[in-house]
Amino acid sequence: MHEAWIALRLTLKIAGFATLINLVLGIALAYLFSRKNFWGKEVLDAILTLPMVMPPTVLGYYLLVVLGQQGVIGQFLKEYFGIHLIFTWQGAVIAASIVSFPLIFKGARAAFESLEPQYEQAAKVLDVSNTAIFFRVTLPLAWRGILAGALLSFARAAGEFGATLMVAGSIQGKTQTLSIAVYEAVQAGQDDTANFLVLLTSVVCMSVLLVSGRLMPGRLARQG
Amino acid sequence: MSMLWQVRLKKHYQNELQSFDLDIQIQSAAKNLVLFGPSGAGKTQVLKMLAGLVKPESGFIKMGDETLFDSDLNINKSPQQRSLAYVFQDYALFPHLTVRQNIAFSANKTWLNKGKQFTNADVDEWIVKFQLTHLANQYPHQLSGGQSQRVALARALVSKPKGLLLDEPFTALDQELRRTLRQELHALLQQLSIPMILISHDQEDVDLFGEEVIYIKNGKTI
Repeated sequence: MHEAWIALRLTLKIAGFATLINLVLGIALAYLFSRKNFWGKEVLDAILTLPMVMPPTVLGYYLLVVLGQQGVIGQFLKEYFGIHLIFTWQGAVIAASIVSFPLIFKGARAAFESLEPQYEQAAKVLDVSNTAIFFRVTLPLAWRGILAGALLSFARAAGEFGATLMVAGSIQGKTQTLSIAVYEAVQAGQDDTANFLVLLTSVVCMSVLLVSGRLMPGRLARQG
Repeated sequence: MSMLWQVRLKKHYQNELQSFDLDIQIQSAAKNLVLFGPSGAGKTQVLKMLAGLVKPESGFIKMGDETLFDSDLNINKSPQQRSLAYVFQDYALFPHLTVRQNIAFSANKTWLNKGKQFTNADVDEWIVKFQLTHLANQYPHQLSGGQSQRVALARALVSKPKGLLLDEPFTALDQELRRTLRQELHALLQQLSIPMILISHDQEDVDLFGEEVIYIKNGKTI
């Protein structure tokens, strides 16, 4: 059972980093999309949402092509920084963040777009800089929606299988996450291990859903 | 006598159903000015243009010697640079901040909100003056209409504005309260030395506040 805990820790680490990356990128892009109009906006929106509908193995294949030793980014990283992403947990983080990105992006964009413009306007006439307004008014008021999206994105990242397997493989203690460990255990006929892993995964997923349900906007008023 | 407000604003609005032309001309030396007209006449748009929240297509806004907007000279100062306090019709108090945090909002120039105890001399002064001491730690949704209005005014005044813009300050209140608060606000404005523009569709506001009244109908000054 020791391996199960290692897999759990690895899963939480990968999902945690992926969510962190997505929080920063997702909030920035969602804010941009909710406030600015630019050429090709809806096409770009579709591309950013694509991971939600595309089979993870297809995404994984794209990532292999781009990040692999012959890939554009892979070659660059290897040549200038000596970094290999394929078959590493960092590679798994990239796979997980791309797959789960739309959840946080969509959630944050909806949260920003549903904000009443009055609050930002009121802050502007109070002689507070636009950057400060973002951190002191916009973000706190949109926070619940963003957090709910972040938790869903975390759950999706934690459950990632297809793209992660393609990019990072299944190296025990290194890249073998819970969902991949389940697959391996079943393939090897280790029913006890599989049962335990499945139970563990279910508990983690339930907790995330319960927490995100509490944070969904509308359930609680926006007041602090 | 030198003019306090010299304003010319034009903007064309168009949607699927109707088109609307705003064409406003204001020349006034009055410290207290009322823009009067029925709802839908474009009064709020004018006030937002003065504050810098809505951009006119053409025209100019001069307050005293200062040009806030001039389409010919390509001047368009940001709301922050104009420092005209704007009190919204429904007050737009920040729902996630307490009364004191709302009032102290402009006293804090950093990127993050300060704690509930953050204050300064001005903030304390307005809290006492507006009898908000016992409400200082409440949140906006716990306040009555009259209390919210006082918080909104205090918040505006702490930013030391050069002028005060009031958007239908009494419509959100019931009849009785409206009368009391109108008197209260009037008494308060007497003490302030800054100019004020108030928009209203209520004759009683005109009678009390209007040193000078400008009528707006269908987007035009008449």
